[in-house]
Parts: sequence; C-alpha cells; structure tokens
Amino acid sequence: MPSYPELQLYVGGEWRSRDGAPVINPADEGVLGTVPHATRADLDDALDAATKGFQVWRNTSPAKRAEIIQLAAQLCRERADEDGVAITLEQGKPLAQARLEIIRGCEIIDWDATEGRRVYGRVIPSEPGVRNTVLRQPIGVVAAFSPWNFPMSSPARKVAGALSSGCSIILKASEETPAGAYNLVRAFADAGLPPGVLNLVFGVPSGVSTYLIPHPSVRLITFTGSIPVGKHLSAMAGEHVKPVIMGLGGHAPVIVCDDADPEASAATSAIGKSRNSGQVCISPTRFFVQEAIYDRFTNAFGEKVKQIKVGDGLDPDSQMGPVANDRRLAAMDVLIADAKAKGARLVAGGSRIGNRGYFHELTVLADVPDNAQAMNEEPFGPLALLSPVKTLDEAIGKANSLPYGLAAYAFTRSARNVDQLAERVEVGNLSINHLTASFAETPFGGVKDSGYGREGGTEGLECYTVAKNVSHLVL
Amino acid sequence: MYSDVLLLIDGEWTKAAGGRSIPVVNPATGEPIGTVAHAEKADLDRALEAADKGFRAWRKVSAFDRSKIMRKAADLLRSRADAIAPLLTLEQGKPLPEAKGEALAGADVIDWFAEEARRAYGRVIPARAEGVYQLVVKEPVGPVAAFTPWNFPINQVVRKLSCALAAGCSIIVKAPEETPASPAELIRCFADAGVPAGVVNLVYGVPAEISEYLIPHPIIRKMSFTGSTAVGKQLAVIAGAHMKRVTMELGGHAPSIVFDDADVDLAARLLSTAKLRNAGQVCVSPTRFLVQEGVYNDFVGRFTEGVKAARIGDGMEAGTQMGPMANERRIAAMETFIGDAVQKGATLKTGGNRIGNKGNFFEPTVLTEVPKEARIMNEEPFGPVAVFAPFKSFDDVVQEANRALRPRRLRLYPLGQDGPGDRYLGRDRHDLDQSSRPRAA
Repeated sequence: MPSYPELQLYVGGEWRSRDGAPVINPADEGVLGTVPHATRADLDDALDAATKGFQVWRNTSPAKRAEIIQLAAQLCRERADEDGVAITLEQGKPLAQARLEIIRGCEIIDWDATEGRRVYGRVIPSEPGVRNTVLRQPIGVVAAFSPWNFPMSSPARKVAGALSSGCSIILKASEETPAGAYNLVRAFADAGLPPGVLNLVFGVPSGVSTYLIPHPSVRLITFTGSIPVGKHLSAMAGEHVKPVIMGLGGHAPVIVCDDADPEASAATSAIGKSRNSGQVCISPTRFFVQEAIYDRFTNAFGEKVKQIKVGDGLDPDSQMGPVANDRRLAAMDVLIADAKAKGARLVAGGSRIGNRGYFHELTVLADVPDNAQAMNEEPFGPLALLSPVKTLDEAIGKANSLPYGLAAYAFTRSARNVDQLAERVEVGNLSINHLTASFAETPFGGVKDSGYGREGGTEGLECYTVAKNVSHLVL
Repeated sequence: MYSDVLLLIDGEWTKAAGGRSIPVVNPATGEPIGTVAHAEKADLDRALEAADKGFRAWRKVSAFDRSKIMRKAADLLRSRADAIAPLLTLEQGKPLPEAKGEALAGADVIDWFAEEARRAYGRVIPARAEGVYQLVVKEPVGPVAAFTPWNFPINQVVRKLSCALAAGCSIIVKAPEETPASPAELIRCFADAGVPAGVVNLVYGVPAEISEYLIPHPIIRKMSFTGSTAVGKQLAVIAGAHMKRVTMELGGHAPSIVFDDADVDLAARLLSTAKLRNAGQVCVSPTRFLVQEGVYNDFVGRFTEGVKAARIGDGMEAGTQMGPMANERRIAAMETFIGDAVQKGATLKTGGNRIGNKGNFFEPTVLTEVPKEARIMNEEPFGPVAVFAPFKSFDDVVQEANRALRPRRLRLYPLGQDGPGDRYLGRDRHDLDQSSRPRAA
C-alpha cells in the first residue's frame, strides 16, 4: 500500500502537529491525510525562529552552507522513489514524472548551493587611497509561497535560493499538495540544518500571507502562482517596501514555421502538452502554425494525443494523470465550450473521463479564434489550441498579444527565423525545437504580467542578496 | 606635408641621441618622403627611466581621471583624422578612406578602453571563516614594451596603448620604422591630451636590438607584440626566459568557406572586397577559399570578376580601391608564392604579376586547384592573392580548415647571435625574406 506521510509543521527546528484540512487524492477523491494549519502563535514562532536562524546562517561560511544543502539534495535523491509516490498521490502526475520532478529539484538545489560560494562582490577602481568594495550580503528572512503543481521542485527553488545566499526562510507551501514540501524540509532537517533557518507552515493562504508579508522581520517575498494573486501580494509587499520574486502564469505560444517537420513537431508538442496534465506555467498552449503545414500538424497532433494513455499516476502505463482538483475540471468545461461556440473545431478529447477522480481527456482544438476565452486566459489544463498563421510576423504578433511573457517555443530550421524570434518574442524563456524551458544552470522567469526576478542560473541568487558599498578612505 | 618623425621620451619630442635616422619611402612611388629617428641604447635607457617614473605617477592617477585624459585623446584623434590619414597613406599605401577609417576606429578603441578603465573590477570572494575578507584587486602590471607592425600603423598601436593606459601602466611603443608618422601622430594626441611625461614613450630603430634590450630589462614588466608567428615565438622565448607576461597577436591563414546553399553572388562580392582590403596585408584577410563543389566554378568566376574590376592605384587618388603593397619584400614574396603554387599544379586564373616598375603595385591574383603542398597553402601570403580549393562534404572542409599548416621552417638562431634575418624582428610582419636591413641614413 503506497504511503502518504503524517504531515507536520516545522518551526524553529521542531515538528508540530496541528488540526487542519483534508488532503484529497485527485485520482480517486479519497482523503490522504490532514494538512496542519499554523496558528498565529506558530507563525510568530516561525518569524522569531527565522530571525534567529538568519543570524546563525549568515555567519555560517558559504562552504559549510553548501555542504549541508548538498547533503539535503542527496537525501532527497535517495528518497525519490518513496517521496515520488506521495507527490503522485496528492497531485496526480504519473510516478515517473513525480520522480523526475524530485531529481530536477535536486539539480536545482545543487546548482544554487555551489553558486552560493560564488556570490562575488567587487572592488571598484577609485581614487588612490580610497577603496570602494561592494559586498553582496543575504537580504534577510524570506517568506516563500509555493503552488500545487510542482509540490517539490517549486519549493526547492525557493529554499535553495534563500539558503544558498545565507538567508533564512519561512515556506508556506501548497495546502493541496503539501507532502512534496514536507519531505523536502525533512531532508534539510536530517542534513543538519541549524534550527530556524528553514521553517514550514501551512494554513489559509491569504491569512498567512497577509500576516507574514507586512511583518518587519520579513525582508523578501517570493511567490509562484497565479497572476491575480501575484499582483495582490506584490501590492502588499510594495506597501511595505519589500522586494519580491514573482513567478506567475504564462500562456506559452508555440510558433511552428513552415520549414519545420509537421509530424515530428506535433508529436513533441503533444507529449509536452500532456506533461503534468498541462498544469504547468510553461505548458505549450497556443500553437500558431504556418498555413502550409497547418493541416498536417493538426492531424498529427490529434493522432499523437490519442496514443497518450490517461490514468491513475500510480499505474506505470499512465502517461497523463488527473487534473489536480475539481476547479480545473470546471475550468476546462467552460473554456472548451466557449471555444467551440466561437467556431473552434474539436480535433481530440473534449470531455471528462468517468465520474470518479478528476480525469480529463487531453484535448486539441483547431481553428481557435483569437477572441476565444482560452486564447486569452491560461487554461492550466490538458488543452492545446491550434490556429493557422500566414507569416512569422503574424505569429510573433499573436504571441506577443497577451500580457503574459513567461515561456515561448518555436519549431524551425531557419537561422533567420530564429534570429527574428530571439529578437522579438516577449518572454523570459524561449526554446527552439524542443520544449524544455529551464535548466538548473539557466535563469528562469517572466516578463510583463508573468512576473519578475529569476530563479536558477547565475542570476538566481541575485534577488536574495543586497549590495552594500563600503567606501574606505585609508588614513 | 610629411615631416621627419621624432622619438617621444619623457614627454619630449626628440632626435636620436646619436643623430641617426632611417629614410621613409612612399610605397606608391618608391620615393623617399622623410626620415624617422633611429634610437640607440642611450635613448632606450632614457625611455626606460621615463617609463619607470611615468608608471609610478600614472598608477596613482584615479581611473576617472585617466579615462578623462584618454577620452580627450580620442577627441583629438577624431578632429585630426583628416590630417593624419594622408600621412598614413603616403607611408603605407592604403587608400585614403581606409586610412581615415583606421584613425576614426582608433578613436573608438580609445573611448572603449577609457570606459573600461573605470570597470577594472576586482572581486570579493565569500570566505570560509567569519571575520575574513577576501579581495581580489586588479593592479597595473607595470611598464609595458609594445611592438607593432606596419599594416595598421595606428590601429595596432592604439590597441596596446589604450589598454596599458586604462589599466594604469606606462608604455614604451616601438612603432614600425616603415610607417612611423601616423603612429607618432596618434601618440601626439595622448601627449596633447595631458598624459604626464614618461607615461607614453615612442621609439624606432633596429627592431631586434630594441626588443632584445627592452624585454629582458628589469623595468619592463610586460611585453605586447603584433606580428608574424615566427617572430612572435622568438620574442615569447625572450619574455619567458625573463618571466615577463606577453600578449601575442600573430599571423593567420583564414579559411573562407562557401557552401552550396550560400548566396554565391553576395559571398563573392563580400569576399573579393575583403581580400583586397589593405592589399591583403591583414592578419584576418580571407586566404584559403574553400568552396563546395556545386558552386565552385560559379563562385570562382564571380570572385575573379570582382577582383579584376577593382581600381588599383596610388592611395592618395580618389577612387582607388587597392593601393600598393607596403614594401618591396612583399612583391618578392608574392612572386615566390605564385611561382611555387603554379609549379606544383595550381592554375593561375588572373593576376600574378607586378604592375609597372614604380611603386610596389601587384595585381589581385586568383590561384585555383591549389594543392595542399603549395607553400601558399601553408604560409600566410599577406598580399592580394586568393587561393582556391573545392571541397565535397562538411567534414572534409572542417578538416581542411583545421589542418595543421606546414610553413617552411625558419631557422632560429640563439639569442644575441646574428642570423640572416631574425635580427630584424618586428620589421616585417610576414617574411619570406627577412634580410632587408633598415637603411641607416
């Protein structure tokens, strides 16, 4: 029988049990356990612990910090099989994807840990006798809010960034998929992280955020989630002059140029769309396909989708699991009906599967008009929208037409097209001929309403540090 | 217009202590146009002393003030470009617009490094223990000896000079004796802009004597050289023996690859123009034209038409697209290379001969089906000669582009011993013939 952990809060190096809300398995709607809700006293303790933990951690050498952080990553790797099951149970994604999420999370942790030893300040040429030295120092206590779609790797980015920079952190992870973060925090605790450096809480999200963000002890807010919530939290942070890292929604365009292989690019796209049932902020969604290959691409996409097996994520044959909650099911129904009413053609899927668990067919709509709701709002589900375009210019224009700017993709062999795409597509991450938008060593983040700040790459730790110039006139 | 060129030592423009000078010849006419002062040991000793003193002063000037002076030098160079360009053309041969372009580009280089001066960042490295600061600070290395060639008399000096000054170093420049006036005018811009005495020093003379004296000298902390690979290696040996840092910008033999899917007409136009720039006397000049079989004949035809149409003449005349070669040694080198290639089976498509008997003019030359054994396929021609070979596959052409070239071995002589050519290190960038001595006046 697959195991799901007894969930607890982690405050000041102490595990705490609390009452809270049920955690639901989206594959069968059964109750997996209870997510503990932090009390006001728990939050105050976490703030106090993080403040003390920061003083300890910032004075721990980067080499020692890296050693502990990398040991935590190693523990996560060793526990990936078991921890992966918990992610599949609470979130729905196939077990192989859950394990891969943990492995990728560990790569991110290792990268940031080793970047922590490279947080270089600099010495600026000045007048003789004057030395201007820029120190990069950890910003302080971080309040982090992570979403339900990547229960382990999204918290891992925040914890790794904060800890590698010398900050302490209070992580409020998703209440719907809490085990990924719980197991991550357990690995750090087991690795010997000093008390208070990392704290884990759950609760009513708005209650926790409105308490933590304005609190004077907290110096940085990092949030991954929806655009409306991101804007709300940014406004709150702005009122208290706190910097934020915002990883918000996307509506990734995929531009398929007429020199691309329509069958191969459609197959790649269908698999990319199915990943995590499309509940990924970088999921390929709006497919702008040049007319010459539009029909072949559409047919191949539809055929490939039919081969992707949807089922319980614990079944090794499943390639796509359920959506994570019933809200996504309802949203899919609305978006598909609206698009069809406005003239879209259903190529594959279109309906919920069964009536137990939140399974939905991988759905492909063709000839989707620009004014369809799904073309303008992030579907965050297994929905691909296909639309023909005449020229690359038209495709880029449509790609840029939304306030989103996270990921974009293209398929082409032409260096000229790539040059145009690289120059003109308004996103933080553009991938050509493949659908991986980020790696541990590359900066990930958005432009426009998709947010700001970057996670990963050499940029990843910038937001967690402040520059201090020390100007010294030698006497 | 062209006047005798002096040394700059410790802020003073001066004749050589021994009163010797070297004649300067216009390569378009073969006529002498002036002289350049010929420094000897006494002059070099004064320059070294000045550079030592200059370094101690200049390194204390703030990066901000150094950059201000440098930017002023750049502005002066821009404002004087029209006056400097004819000097460059008269002594070196390149068409006047190329000469003016070189002066203006030089000003851009100065501006760039003036701003880089303010960004010579050290860094702060996170330490392992509390209370420890680890700073990496970039300090000027010390007085620099720089040796530059005749093909870009301004550009080659300005790169070394700007970097040295931006970093806070002083410098002794040994500029080319055959093209001395334009680099002297460049350096005058720095002097006039307010670089303190001794920070920039300029000498000419017998290249080998100067390099063998300056590089080992304890005052010199770094040497920078642009010139031939053979000479570069010899100077690197001297520098190594005295543990001096070096910057080496040496020869090339640029493969220029044209694939079947290229726009043949565009490629032929761009490459024929590039080949004739500075009469091919450029270390990045396109040289080995490797053309895929499907477009080989078409490309060779268009390229040949392109170079044949170029207007060759005195660089001072408006409309000239290619001037003379910079000196007589290049003529002899071209004749040797071409003769060797034809004898080994290459086809002479166009050119191959000297033009007239006054000035160092040479026809743009195209050699096709040149075998790998030909000397010109292994040694930098440094002249207006394009050599062609067809290729079949991507792998083949990459292999040829990366082939280890086999230049004819130059005899290396023990340091201080007078070989037939290498006493004149730095005199000629790319010598088949290193035997022509500067004519002492």
